[in-house]
Parts: sequence; C-alpha cells; structure tokens
Amino acid sequence: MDLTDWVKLAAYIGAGLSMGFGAIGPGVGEGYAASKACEGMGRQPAVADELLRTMLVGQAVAESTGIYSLVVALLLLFRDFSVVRWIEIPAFLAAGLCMGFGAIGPGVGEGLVAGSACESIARNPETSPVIVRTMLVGQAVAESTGIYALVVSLLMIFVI
Amino acid sequence: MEGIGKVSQWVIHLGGMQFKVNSTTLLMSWLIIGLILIFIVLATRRRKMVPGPWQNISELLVSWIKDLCVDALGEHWGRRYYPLICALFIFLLFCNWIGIIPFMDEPTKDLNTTLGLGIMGFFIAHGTAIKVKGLKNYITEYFKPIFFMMPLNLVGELAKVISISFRLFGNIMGGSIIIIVVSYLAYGLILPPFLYAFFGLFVGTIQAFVFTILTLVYISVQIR
Amino acid sequence: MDISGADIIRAAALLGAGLSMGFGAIGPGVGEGIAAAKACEAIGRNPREAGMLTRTMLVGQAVSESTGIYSLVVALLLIFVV
Repeated sequence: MDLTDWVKLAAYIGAGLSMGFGAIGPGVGEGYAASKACEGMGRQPAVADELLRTMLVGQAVAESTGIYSLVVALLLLFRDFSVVRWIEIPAFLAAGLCMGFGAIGPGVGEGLVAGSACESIARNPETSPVIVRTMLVGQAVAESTGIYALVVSLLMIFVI
Repeated sequence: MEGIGKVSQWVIHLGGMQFKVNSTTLLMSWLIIGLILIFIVLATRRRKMVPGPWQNISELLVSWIKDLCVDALGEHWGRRYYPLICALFIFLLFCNWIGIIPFMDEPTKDLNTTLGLGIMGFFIAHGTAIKVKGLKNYITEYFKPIFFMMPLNLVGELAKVISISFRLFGNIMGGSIIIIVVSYLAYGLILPPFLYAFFGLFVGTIQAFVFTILTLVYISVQIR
Repeated sequence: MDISGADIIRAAALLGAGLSMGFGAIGPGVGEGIAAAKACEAIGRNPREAGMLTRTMLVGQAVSESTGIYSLVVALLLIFVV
C-alpha cells in the first residue's frame, strides 16, 4: 500500500464514521418529535393539521446536523486524491469522528424541542405562533455546537 | 462533480497589493438588491385603502416583523430597529430563494456574505448596549459573575458570531453540495426538482427567519 | 514515506482535536435542547410570560453552551497552535 491508498482508506473510514454516528442523534430526536405529535393528535384530533405542520418544521430543523454529517461524508468520498500528503490520514479520520459524534447531541436535543413544542400545541392550540417561534430559536441555539463540529471538520478537510 | 467548493474570483492589482473579489457573490448580491427594489416599487406604487396584491404582501411582512421587534425590544427600540430587521429578512429570503432559478447561485453560499451580516449584527448589538447601559456598566458585565470569567465571556460573544453565520452558510452550502452530488448520481433525472424545493424554499425560509430572529434576540439580550 | 516523531505528534493533535469537538458537542446539544423543550412547554401552559421565558431560556442555554465553547477552543488550539 502506498501513501495514496492509505489516504483513501482514511477518507473512506472517516466518511463512514461521520455519517454512521451522525445519523444516531437526528434519528432519535426526530422519532421523539413524531411520537409526541402522535400523542397530541390522539388527545386532540381537531388540531391534527397544526401538529403535523409543527412536527415537520421541527424535524426539518433537527435534521440539519444530519445533513452536515452527510456533507462531510460526501466531501471525503468525492475528494480529489491525485495529490496527497501524509498528514491528511489523521486529518480525515478526525474530520469524520468530529462531525459524526458532534451531530449526536444537537440531533437529540433539537428533537426534544420539537417534541415538546408539539405537546404544548396539543395542550394549548391558540399559542402555536409563539411556541413555533420559541422552538425555532431554541433549536437554532442548540445547534451551535453541531456547527462548531462542522467548522472543525471543514478545517481538517480544507485547511490542514 | 467539479462544482464542489469552486469559487470564481477576480484578482485586482492595486499598488503592489492583491485584492481577490468573489465575482459570483458580488453580482448575485447586486442582482438581489435590484430585485428587492423592483418589489418595493411594485408594492408602494399606487397605494390604496384596499390594497393590491403586492401592497398586501409587503404590508403583511412589514407589520409581522414590526410586531416581532416591538415584542422583543420594547416600544422605543423596537420601532427604531424594525426597518433594519425587516431589510435583513427580505434580503436573506431573496438570497436563499434565488438558488432555485437555474444558473443562479445563492450569495449566502459564500461564507463572506454570512460572516459580514453576522459581524454587522454583532456591532449593532454591542453599540446599542453601550448606548443604553453606558460604557462602564457595559464593561463590568463582562466581569460577572466572577472576575476570571472575563475571557470566557469574550469568547462566548465571539462564538455567537461564528455560530450564527456558519449556521446559514452550512445549511445553504450543504444543500447545494447534496444537490450537485445527487444530480451527478441520478443524471439529473427525477430527484433534483424536489431537492431544490426542499433546500431552496423550505430550508431557505427557515434559515432566513432564524438568522433574523437571532440577530434581534442578540440585540434584545444586550439592552435588557 | 518518512515519519518522524514530530509528524506523529501532529497526527495525534489532529485526532485529539476531532475527538474533543466531536464528543464535546454531545452534552451541550442535548442539554440546550432540554432547556428549549421545557421553555416551549412552559409557554404552552402560560403564554403571557413568553418574553421572560425566552430570555431565561437563552441565558440558560448560553451557560450550558460554555462547555461546547471550551471544546471548540481546545480543538482550534490543537489544530493551529500545538
């Protein structure tokens, strides 16, 4: 195995780590949001449309760290390997690890927010505008550590 | 697949120094400013008591954002800042939506645009804080709750700029990378129109709203 | 492929940076999510206090994010300084 093969190996393992671990958090979180939306619809079928809308918006935002994981994995997979350096081996592994694990927390956390928002709208439907607003702001702040993980991964891929 | 991460730049030589200008971002930003001007002219021309469609849309948008601002900042500062927040929201909305037109690029796909807007929000928030609280109170805020928390408070404030601008950049850039890769794999047959609708219209609208409301919230946290 | 001791230390620093930011992002992400979730619940129960609740939520989230910021600082130090 020469250097190019080793760098390819590292990039592919990194892509797998990134998307594999990165799928855990958003998956759990969005499932929690869906479960709370179902509970709310069972209790209050009249607001089913409102709940469905809130659930989908919340889930779409909760998915963004999963999308960052996908982006890091795709960047590693479709990289140009014609010029390689030794230092790229640990850098690619680290990029995958960073974005993979970094997506777990925000994914779960944003899912919790979306779930609670659905629960509250089922309990008190006329407050839904202010709840959706708070949900989006809370999710955006909970996502910031996922964004720091994305920044570190992009530094590993492009700057090192 | 060559489209990933490529930027077209003009290099300007000026007295021994090199200035690099991201030409696509610049052109698209000016194009969007032109589009917004056309929208505003359509909305404000022939204003009536019974509004036409353009006037209706713009009045809805402006009054909704004004309510948000007055809610977050109080009557005085809310009235003062809602033109800014409104302009920010409309600009970001047009920026994120323009990607669905073929051969058009979102200016927000460039980190320079989002970082510039984030830094603008940072200076506005802190300038307002100094104006409201006075310089002395503003500085002592950083030494709370204990003296040696000062560097961490400073890093926290700077991290806000990083997180707000990278959130918008990451979402729009991520969407465009996924669209490029999927069009390459599927030969542009079926999926991309739906992906364009999802990333351009849906994610674009939500991220424009989140960026605007977070700028508003950062201002309101500072003047509280 | 010549690898000296300094190269291995650089490799370890990069891996450490990835681990630091990756694992460091888990806790604040979940914690801030719980804070925002409870704020949504409280606004649903008592909508008139929405402004105060949003402010409290943001302040609490800013505090719980500080460990995430420490991770970022350590990761950047490992990438650029070590």
